[in-house]
Amino acid sequence: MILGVRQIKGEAIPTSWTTREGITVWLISRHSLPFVVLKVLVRGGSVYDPEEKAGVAYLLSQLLPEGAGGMTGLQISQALDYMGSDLETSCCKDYAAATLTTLKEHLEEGFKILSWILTKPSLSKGEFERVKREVMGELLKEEEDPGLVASKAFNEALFRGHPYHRPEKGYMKTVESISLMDVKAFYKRFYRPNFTIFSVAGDITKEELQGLMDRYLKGWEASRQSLPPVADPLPLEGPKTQVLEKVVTQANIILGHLGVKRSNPDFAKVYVMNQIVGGGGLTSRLFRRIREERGFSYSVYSYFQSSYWGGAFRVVLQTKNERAQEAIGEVRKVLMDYKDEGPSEAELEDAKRYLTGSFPLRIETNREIADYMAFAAFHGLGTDYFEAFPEEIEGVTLEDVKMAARRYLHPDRLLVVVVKAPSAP
Amino acid sequence: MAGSMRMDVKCRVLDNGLRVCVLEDHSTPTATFQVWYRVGSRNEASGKTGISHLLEHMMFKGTKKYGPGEFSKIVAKNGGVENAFTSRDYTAYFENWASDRLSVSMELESDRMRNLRLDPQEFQREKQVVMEERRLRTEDDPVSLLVEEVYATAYKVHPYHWPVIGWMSDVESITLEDLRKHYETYYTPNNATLVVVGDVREKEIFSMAERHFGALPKGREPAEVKSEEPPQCGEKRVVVESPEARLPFVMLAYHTPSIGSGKEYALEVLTHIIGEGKSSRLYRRLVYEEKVAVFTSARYQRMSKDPGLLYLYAGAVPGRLPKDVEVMMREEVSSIKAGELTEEELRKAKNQVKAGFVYGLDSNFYRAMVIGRLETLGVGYEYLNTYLDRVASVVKADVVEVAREYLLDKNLTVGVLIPEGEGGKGGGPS
Repeated sequence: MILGVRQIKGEAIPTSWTTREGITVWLISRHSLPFVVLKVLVRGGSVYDPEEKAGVAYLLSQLLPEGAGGMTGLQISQALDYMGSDLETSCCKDYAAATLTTLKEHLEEGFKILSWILTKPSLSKGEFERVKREVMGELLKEEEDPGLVASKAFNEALFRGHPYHRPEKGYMKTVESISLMDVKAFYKRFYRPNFTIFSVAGDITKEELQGLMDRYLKGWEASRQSLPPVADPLPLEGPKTQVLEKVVTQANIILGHLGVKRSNPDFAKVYVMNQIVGGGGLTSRLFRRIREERGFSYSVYSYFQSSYWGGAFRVVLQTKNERAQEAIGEVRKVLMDYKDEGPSEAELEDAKRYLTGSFPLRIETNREIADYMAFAAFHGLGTDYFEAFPEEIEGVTLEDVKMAARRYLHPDRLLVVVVKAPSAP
Repeated sequence: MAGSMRMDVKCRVLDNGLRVCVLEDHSTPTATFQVWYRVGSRNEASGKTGISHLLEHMMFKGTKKYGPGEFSKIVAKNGGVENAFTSRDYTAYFENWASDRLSVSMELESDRMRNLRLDPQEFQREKQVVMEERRLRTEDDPVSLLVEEVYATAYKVHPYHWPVIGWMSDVESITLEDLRKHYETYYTPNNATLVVVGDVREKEIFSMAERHFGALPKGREPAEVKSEEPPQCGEKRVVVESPEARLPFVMLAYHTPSIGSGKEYALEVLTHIIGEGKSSRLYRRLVYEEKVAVFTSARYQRMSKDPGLLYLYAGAVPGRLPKDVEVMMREEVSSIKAGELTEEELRKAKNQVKAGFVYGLDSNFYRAMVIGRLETLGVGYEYLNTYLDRVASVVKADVVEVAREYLLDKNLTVGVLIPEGEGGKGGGPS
């Protein structure tokens, strides 16, 4: 059978420009539905938290909508809710983000609020104390989730000595110690137009968007400093296993090692290589062995998380406590066999067809388009990304995948983190 | 605007009873193909709970023509994304891919509607997988455990009493013979609806459907579910103490009529007023003003075959008692019942419903989901074309009326999750 759809017609090419203030803008206009998604990325993620104040970038992202431009947090919420608009702010290791979804008819009002929280946040004492307590509540709540507990422990061990070891939300202790001054200092350093990306998809033209930016972002002062560089993470010296105990019926297991940055020229090869062993769909080698042949786990997959300053390879699965060791052994075997023999020609073809065919399906809605454009802009992937990436995948050869497996897959040096019940073997 | 949101869906019924619904959208060369069966945990019996979901898993385990896993392989190598889901009221399967792949969907889905090979070995393994799924989604998640308890408490007669995934011992003891019977009873053309949305021509879809599904024999009409939940006669309360819970969590659940009752528009608006967004009653009072909660929300199960629940929930700030949170949640409910409700709150809620509806139309998959659910629930896709107008016509008195009618203490189940060891701290009646 021949390959299906590859691109989303002419709309797939974003328009991109830089504003006078230095903001990078990416836009795809789609007028089929009367709404717009605006995603703003600020290159000030938790990677820049001071170690002893871990959580400051996240706390700031949560505080931003709680008062700006003379409006209180409640007034902002009321205005947004009244328009049926949705504003969410978040923060990951590499960047902070604010995403506004709004009907076209309320675009101007929504944009005004979005611009205010970015350029004129109140950062008031009262709201700061409240949000801080809530973040501490979230941190406690996260301890309920064994998958998250395992993931945090995995990052701590894999990225020791590198800022990526810290959870985005920080730790109880460090959040407790964050002052309003810390938050303000972080805001001042990173929330600058030349560190900012606007990724916009939906019922809006370039003229409309530029007009809004002129009206509401004029005078936002660019930073003359550059962004602080972050050193590469160092690999572990050998294999390592860490076991954490929790009252659970199921062991949560993560195995892996350092991976590749998104800027690595081998990224597409690594991506295809991973697809075959543990990527999306219901057909990978890990899925077949662990779930279909052995019935060990409901969910099992692997991925290369490729961030700006470093990356990680992870295999994630869960199985009943008493089966943890056996499952880990199976995963190792799958990875080793794969590294040794590489994929078959048919596996490669199937994986490429899946990845190129399903790629446009993942970029269908305004929200998905805004997310993907923001990601591409952040990593400097170029506005032809939506067409270039599938083509790059298309060009990956059997030799490329074998090379990628040899170079980037290390089943002999796995970090293994297991969260399981105290009594389990 | 409501007028421009009309969906031009075309439906046709084949001679064997299979309903086929098509919505053309030529903006991208993709399409979604979905098969909806009118069977879910609602159609199960005590001792066999989870059988619908287990059968959904087995639907990927091969037919006489295609071996185990082959279905997924074919979809993947054609660049498709597939999966399935089971709910209380339905089970659905889908493939999203380039619209020129639809004949593959037709071939594969018509095959597994009739020719499933229920292999004993595959079955034993898949049971293990489902048990792992239950551990993952429920057993090790304190809030999920509480939600399961709330349903089991709110419903004593109706099958909504048990979870979709089933009780662990039922999943373990269901036999292949049970599964075969379930399959033969419910997986028939007359108990299913095909929904196709995307870059297709309706005529072609109808004729393809005829070609692939037309020869499947009509099945017997499955028995109706006759269980009716009798009116509750007093407040119920359930507490989960979990060693792994860290934050107290409170849930108030009321029995409410669902879609098709005529009450759902006012109930939807009421739910938004109580719990949608950071200016909603709950968030404003519990998070902004009293600072007792980290998060709050409200949900209404409008899309339910039989009467579902309208529930409110909140997670307490560390150190705050669930009792304090519960008292404030109930005060907000009382205030609305007393008619304390502004025109602005009403307007805001209606705007939120409208905007949410528009955002939800932004993909072939979501639109097909809505059509599939409406068709499967027996309401029909036409419902969509009047929905926003009906919401727009809700007035304050309607909202107060449904609040007074349904948000009653005697119609309420309270669920409280307490971190173990804090049992003395407010899980009891307040």
